[in-house]
Amino acid sequence: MLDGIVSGLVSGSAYAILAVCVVVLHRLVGVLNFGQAAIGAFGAFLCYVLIGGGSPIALAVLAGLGAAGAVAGGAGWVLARWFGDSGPLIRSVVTVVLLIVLLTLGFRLYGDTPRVMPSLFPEFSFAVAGVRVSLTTLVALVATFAIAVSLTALLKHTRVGIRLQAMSERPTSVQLLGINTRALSIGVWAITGALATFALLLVAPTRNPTFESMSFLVVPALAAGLLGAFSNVWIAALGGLALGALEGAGARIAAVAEFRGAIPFVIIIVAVIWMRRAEVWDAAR
Amino acid sequence: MRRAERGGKARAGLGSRTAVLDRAGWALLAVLLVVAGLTLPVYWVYLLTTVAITALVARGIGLVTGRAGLISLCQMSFAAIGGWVVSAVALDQPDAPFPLLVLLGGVAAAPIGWLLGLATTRVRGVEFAVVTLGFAAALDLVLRQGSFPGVGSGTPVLPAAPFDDARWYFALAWALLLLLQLTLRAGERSVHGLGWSAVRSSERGAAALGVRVGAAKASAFALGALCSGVAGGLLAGQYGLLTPQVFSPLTSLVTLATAVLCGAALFGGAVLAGVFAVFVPEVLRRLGMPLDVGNALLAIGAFDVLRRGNGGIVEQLRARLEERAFARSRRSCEWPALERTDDAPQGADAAHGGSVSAAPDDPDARERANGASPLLAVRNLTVSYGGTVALNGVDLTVRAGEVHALIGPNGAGKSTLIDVVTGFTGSASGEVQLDGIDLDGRSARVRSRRGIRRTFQHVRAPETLTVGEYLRLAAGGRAAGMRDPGAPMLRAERSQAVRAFLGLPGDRVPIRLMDAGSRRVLEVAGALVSAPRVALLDEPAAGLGAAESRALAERIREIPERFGCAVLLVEHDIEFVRATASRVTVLDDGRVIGSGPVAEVLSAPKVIAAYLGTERSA
Repeated sequence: MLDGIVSGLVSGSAYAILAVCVVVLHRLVGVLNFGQAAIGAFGAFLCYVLIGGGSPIALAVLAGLGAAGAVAGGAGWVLARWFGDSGPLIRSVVTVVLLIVLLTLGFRLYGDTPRVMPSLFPEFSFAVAGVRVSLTTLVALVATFAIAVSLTALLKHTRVGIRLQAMSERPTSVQLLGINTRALSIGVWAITGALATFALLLVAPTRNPTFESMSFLVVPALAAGLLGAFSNVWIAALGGLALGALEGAGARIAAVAEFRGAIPFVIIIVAVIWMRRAEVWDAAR
Repeated sequence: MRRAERGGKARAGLGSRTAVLDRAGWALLAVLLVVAGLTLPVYWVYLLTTVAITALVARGIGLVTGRAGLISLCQMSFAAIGGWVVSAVALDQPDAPFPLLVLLGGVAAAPIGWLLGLATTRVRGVEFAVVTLGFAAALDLVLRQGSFPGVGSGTPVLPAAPFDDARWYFALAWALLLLLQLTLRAGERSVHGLGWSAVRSSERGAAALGVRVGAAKASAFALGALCSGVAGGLLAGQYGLLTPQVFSPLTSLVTLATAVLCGAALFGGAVLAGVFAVFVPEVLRRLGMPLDVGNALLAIGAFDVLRRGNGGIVEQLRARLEERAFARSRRSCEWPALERTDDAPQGADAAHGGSVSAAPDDPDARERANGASPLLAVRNLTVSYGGTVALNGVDLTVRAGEVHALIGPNGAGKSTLIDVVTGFTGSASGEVQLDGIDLDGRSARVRSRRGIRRTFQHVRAPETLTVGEYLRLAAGGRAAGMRDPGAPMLRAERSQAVRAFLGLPGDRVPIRLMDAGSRRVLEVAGALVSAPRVALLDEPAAGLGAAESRALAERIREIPERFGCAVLLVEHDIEFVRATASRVTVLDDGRVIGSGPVAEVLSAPKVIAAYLGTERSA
């Protein structure tokens, strides 16, 4: 059981990083990005294609992160260009369109067969209190923590972060203050895109994924983000880790194993019922 | 009044042009279908069957997303449930009549949609989309673990005769599509279904009209699931053996995009969505191009529709037809001089005498001295948001048969007071009573049903409805011949009287073609047709010109006399208040600084200093 939980933490870290990206994008740009994992998958698959073609790992990883950042930045530009005045709902539906387009592009470029993906970190593991912990798990946990800390710090304590927060609340007024909101929001998109690729590079070796299955890893990430109402970075991160641990544990219990794919949905339903136990009305009068 | 009636008939004639077009469209479709089903080669008949099946799913999306405004990313999952049930039952009972099986598939999916809708009663917008995507992904993973009934043993679903023939199957698919379309259309025209449009436009606005918001969402979702379930059942019969790929989350997303592109809330849009979903891949196949490019094309089409923001292809067409049909008919409220009833009030100020004090110490004692019965009583009301106190120990009494104005500078707490009285703010302390009955803990909907009606500062009348539909929704759909408790006239009479009294445009005029000021007046009409005890009107004259504003003031003053309900009026325009109200309460910074007959209160130095003074200097 404990083994299961620990092995689930790699997936958990990936969910956590994706969830943090979704939350940051939601808070700063006002869009819930259904294509978050698809953007990441785009970069991750490019990375493995390059590795398969014999390029050095470091170069391939950089190319993957860069490609995802570029795709995300492009998406950010499109949203800022045509949907600057739209509500969050319309903008989020646009990311559904983005997801469909990326899935099509992914099938075309990378095919739809599952791929075996080598781990980026050496196969090394050690025992802690009788449980085997792999190096990948450790790296993943440290990275999740580091990303959550640095994004929180960015939001709260830097000039850019404060401008970004202001932008999400009053885009027009901030623009009138002479701040280039479009460039800022494209920057946020690009960073979350690169981070998503990183997250998926962590989890890919444990899954042998297709482009489609990788793209729908956005579901557990959305479940984790929902726990923090898409505004709390830390709840999203912890929620992602917990989801991974639950799935890991579930895989070891025969009765649940077949249905563990439904765990994120159960979490989502419980979360929305709990969070909305009191009546809250829509937009102000 | 006679003139207005004649105008009404002329407008109905213009509006019915779209109805004629509708009828012609249906007849043409029927003829085309019969000819196509009998003459086309089997391959084409097969493709057209798929068009009907996809159109069914799209029509469901049109209801859920287009009508009720819920973004659903799991409609193909409901189809999977229908397909699964049909496969399982068909294996067990191969001779069962196939149409019955397919309907069973729909009936199996509907309660799951209903449950999902209930669980998400208070979830809206993008969070709702997350829930549905979660459901789609979960069901997909579970289906991939197991498989559809019959797949393991290789026994396909074989529809019992005559539906084993492709042409009969084509007829079945289209017949079911038409049957469900008629069902949905009847649903959308019922009072419950009009509530879907209200919920989409604003949940607050819907609850204020007495709509059960949660039930409306759940029923829309259940009906959408029913359509998808039937479609899934038809797919089971068409394919024989089903695979999870047919119902993957991606297909749900693409179907949603196609429905958005075509405007599937309308039947024509749903059929067009079916045509696109079938023939875009077909054309790509003939061109030798990869089929999945079609998904991207449809998605980009949806992107363009979202960018323009004025609806899908068929919705735009429909909107243009409507604009042309109503181009020459009256689309705003118009007020000829009021015919006086014999015992009309002689002037607002004279209507109520009584004690006068700019700051009453004990409203109850004053009421008793007055002898007038308090209809709506607010006592010691306090509301605070965080550290800000919006209302501080406010007392206010609206008597039966009066127009009571509530004035005060911006941010004084006027709209907050209306929110509390109508049940939209939970965190208030103090008492609100209607007819001496405490309303504490009653929901906005219940208060609305008990006769406290309101209008909003920002107009909430749903753009997708017509004038007549809105009034029907607001009246709550009780029988037209019914006499409301305490109301002086029958429902039908009342509704007709309100239309004439406020000079509304014809019943068929779509609300989206009306100007903002007229929509505000329409909301007042909506409040009146429900036979309320008290109507709370939040700045009804905003957006009207000076002459119209005077005419509206004249009418609001007569509301108690003509419709037997009291009015609490929030207004900035002092002249408007003088012309309508008999008594006034002045709020400043969350406190009552004056209350009593209009002339007295408005001349009190304290009120002039706090309110009029700032108003003049502003």
